[in-house]
This record gives sequence, C-alpha cells and structure tokens, in this order.
Amino acid sequence: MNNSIDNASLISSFEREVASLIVLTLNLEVASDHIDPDLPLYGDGLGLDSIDILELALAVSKQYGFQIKSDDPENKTIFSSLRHLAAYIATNRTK
Amino acid sequence: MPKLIAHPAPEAIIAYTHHQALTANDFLRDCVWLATQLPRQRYLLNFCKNRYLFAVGMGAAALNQQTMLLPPTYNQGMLSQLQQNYPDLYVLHDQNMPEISDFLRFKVAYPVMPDHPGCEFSRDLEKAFSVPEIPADHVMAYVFTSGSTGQPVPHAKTWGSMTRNAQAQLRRIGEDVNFLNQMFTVLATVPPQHMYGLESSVLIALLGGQAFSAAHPFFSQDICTELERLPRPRVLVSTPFHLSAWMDSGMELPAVDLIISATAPLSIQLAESIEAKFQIPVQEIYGCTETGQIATRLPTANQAWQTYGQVEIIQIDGENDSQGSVVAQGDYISAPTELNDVLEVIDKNHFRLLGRKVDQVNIAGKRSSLGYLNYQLNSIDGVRDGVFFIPDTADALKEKRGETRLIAFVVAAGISKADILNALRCRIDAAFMPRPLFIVNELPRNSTGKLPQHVLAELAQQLQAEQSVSETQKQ
Repeated sequence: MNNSIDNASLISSFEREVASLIVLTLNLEVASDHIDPDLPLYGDGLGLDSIDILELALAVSKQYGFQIKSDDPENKTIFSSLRHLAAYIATNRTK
Repeated sequence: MPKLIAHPAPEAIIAYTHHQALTANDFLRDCVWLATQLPRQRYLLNFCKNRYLFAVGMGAAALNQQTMLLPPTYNQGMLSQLQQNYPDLYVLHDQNMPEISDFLRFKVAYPVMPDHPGCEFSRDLEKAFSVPEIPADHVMAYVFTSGSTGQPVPHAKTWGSMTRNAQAQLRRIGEDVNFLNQMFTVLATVPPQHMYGLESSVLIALLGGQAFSAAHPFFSQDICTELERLPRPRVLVSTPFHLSAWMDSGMELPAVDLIISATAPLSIQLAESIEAKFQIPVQEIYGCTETGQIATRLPTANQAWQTYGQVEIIQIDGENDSQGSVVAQGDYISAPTELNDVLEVIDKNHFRLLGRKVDQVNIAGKRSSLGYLNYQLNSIDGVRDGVFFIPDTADALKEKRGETRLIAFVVAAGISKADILNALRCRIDAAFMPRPLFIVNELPRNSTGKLPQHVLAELAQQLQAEQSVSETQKQ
C-alpha cells in the first residue's frame, strides 16, 4: 500500500492528464488517480488489450497531434507503463 | 499433388520485407534449408511474427510432414492444454518468448539460410527451379475453436483443401477487380496465425503466384508506411476495427486498389466512405474457423452473400420451437458444418447474415461462446457461481468497430475481484475479459435455475448506475 502512495505522490501533472485521457477514452472502471504510473498498461497491470491500444492511439493523435507508430504490433514499450506513454507523448506532441 | 507455390519463375517476387524483395527462389531455398534444421516433432506452434518467416516455417514444416497447431488464443491455459494433448510439439518463433519457457523451441531469423556462396546445398538449389509438391491429404494445420467444455476442438486443414479454397478466393477477386492479370501485393493487418489472416495473406500469395508484405502493421501510421513501400496494385486485408481507425486518423492515406474486410460486419457507412475515398471496391469475406472462408459480398452493391465455388448452404429445420440451423458443405469443406450465425438462406449459393446466435460471442474477430466462457469462470477456485453477459451496446462508435465488451457477475467465496480477474486472464483471451466484473451476493436465477437475459440486463443497468453514483461522489 505504501508503495502506491509513494508512486502517486511522484506522478507528474502531465502523467495525470494522460491517465485521465486513458480512463475517459476507454470507459475504464478504475479512477485515473488510482493508475499506478509504473505498472504495465497491458495484461496484468491495467488489463488493456489491442482493441484498447488502437482506440487510445486514435485519441492521442487527436489530442496531441501526432501518430503513434511501431514496426511491431506487439511492441509494448510505449504502452509498458503510464510513465512511458506520457514521456513518449511529451516528446512527440505537436499540440 | 498441389505445389507449394504457384509462382511461374524463380525470379518472381513472393514477399517484401523492410529492405528487400524476396523471390520465389529465395523462398523455396529457405523452406528446403529450414526443413533440414527443424526439430523432428510431429506438431509445431508457429509463433513467427514476421509473415515471411511464418510462411517459410509453414513451408518447411509441410516438407517434413509436420502439422501446425493454430489455437484461438495463446494464453497460458491454452498452451498447457495443447502441450498435454499434443506432447510431440515444438515452438517455432522469431522473437524472444519468455512465457513459453518449458516448450522445446526453435528460433528462426532472417536471413533464414546462412549465406555461404560456396555451399554445396545452395549450388544444388540454384541449378533448377523445381517447386516442391505437398500431398493433398497432408494436414497442414489443426485450427482450434474453444469448444464449450474447456477442451479446444481441432479442425483439420489439408493442403488440398487450402489450395482449392485459395483458388476459389482468387477467382472471386478476379470477378470484383480488373487487375488480376497483374501481380498484386498484399498487406494484412491481421496475423497469419488466424484463419482469415492465413488465407488472405500467406495462402492467397503462395497459391496465386502473388506477393505479400512480411509486415503486420497495427497503428494507422504503420499501415500507411507499409503500403507506401509496396508496388501497386495493392490489396489491404483488414478488419472493420482497423479500417475505421485508419479512416478516422486524419492522415494522408496512400493509394490502395482493393480492400478486403472480415472478422466482423462492416458498416455500410464505412464501406461507402472507403469506396468514395479510393474509388475502389471493398470486398467482405464471411467464414469461420471450422470451414474457412466460404462467401463474399460487395456490401455497397448487395446485402446478399455469394458462396465460393461449389460451396453450398442448406437450411436445416429445427424441431419444435428451435429455429433450426444452417449448414455449409461441399467443395473444400470436408464435412457438412453448422454455422454459428443466424442466416437467411436465399438459395444454395446466396444468403443474408442476420446476426450471431444468442450463445455466440465475437469480439475483434475472436469467437467464443458464453458456454465456454462461463465454464472457465466457474472453474476458478473460489467462484461459487458466475455468468457472462453480452450487453446491448448503445455506443455507436463501438458498434461501428464491432467491439462490445462483456460483463460478468460473480458470487465469490473468499476470493477477491482482482484474484478472479487474474485467474480469468490465464484462461480466456483478453478480448473476452469482462469489463466490468461485478461481485454479487447471488445470481438472479429463476425457479428453473435459469438466468433470463432481460433479468441480467436489468441487473447490469442497476449495478452500473450505482457504480457511477459512487464515482461521482468520490470526485
């Protein structure tokens, strides 16, 4: 329990913004401030699957003005955690 | 005996990888060489993500009279069941796969055959372009459906039936487009481990003398990048789900000459917007794991489906109050097979698709049945009673993409919701994971122990309303 509190206190405001985009886009049951920024978004972590990932990529392109790409659909790096995704968006965003 | 590939000359292009075009000769050399290296087991799981490596693996395995197993999902539960039922099994893969550590495995990489110009083996192959033949009755693959009792059910696909199926598909494409006299290139957003992806990317190219892209693009940007690399005419093989995201992406889309869609019904609006944008036909394929593809239609021209070749569909009358069923038979279908959808038979070669059967689930191209999912849910220690429910989706966007999410109700005894979800994840495909899963005190069974759909719908509505009230109060 202490861990998640520590993590939550270390979350940046941009990561919070991306977490909220995830929850809103995918109608998730979890509240955005309960997403552990270091857990995988796939599988055992937040439980997203490829349908969600494509939906999320579309929302990201609309909101931040760039297209997510990967040569491999199983490329899990970008979506390996909220922190990775937020950092990737921060680097590539055009709006 | 049907040949492994239909390419007329050794220099004909068969595949495109990121950096180069590979010829029929390259492909055959790689297949023959890999066949000498593979483990001698009778069965293999072909995990290769790269479509060229998958195809070489398939060809090499066929030369060795080995059979691929193509399960509906690759989670731990399914893999251990296959291992138990087919002990003489190995895994062919092209990426690191820590999750299957207890399997005998063989890793293939590109270039498949190490490049030794002086090697005797290589010189022998260069002398003559001789295309290997595969016995028509060789079982190339067992494709599995999930079954309803927890045991995956195998469906044998012989090389003969695959060949006839691909030829029927090529003839139909020839009726719908005017470029069949040229070489075309296929790009698929679906994996070759799925029946549709196998037929419409790898087999259509090998058996039609055409070329396929080794890529498996997923994001809209990837589809554009891969298309641009390919010569025209280009055929994009995809799903309503990928196509709708691609069309909505707002990107500059490269030219395409035919779009093929399957796995879920394509909305007429999406088909029309694609046709208007590219001035090309959109062809929809109907099929299932048991039969493979059996019919197509051009959704903007005709709502009715036309079967391939000599495939026939027959209405079987049900007894008493049962609605009966529709069976597909003939041509490459080995035995009359009941279809899992509700069909209106127009004549033996034409039908309308009215919807799925009540028990059937189809999410993102993956099929299962409520019977199977309920069996898996109730097999978890600590689940006293549980049921899956398919909600009527009111969400237009999700409807358009063919993706509804399931709901589950569970009576739990000493097990948390998170534990149930974790256990389920090992047993069923991610697409069928309930969202949400509600823990309840009891299921609303009626006096005969049944759970009427409308009662589950009311319960879902009530629990979802309670949940959203509590979320709002939190904020």
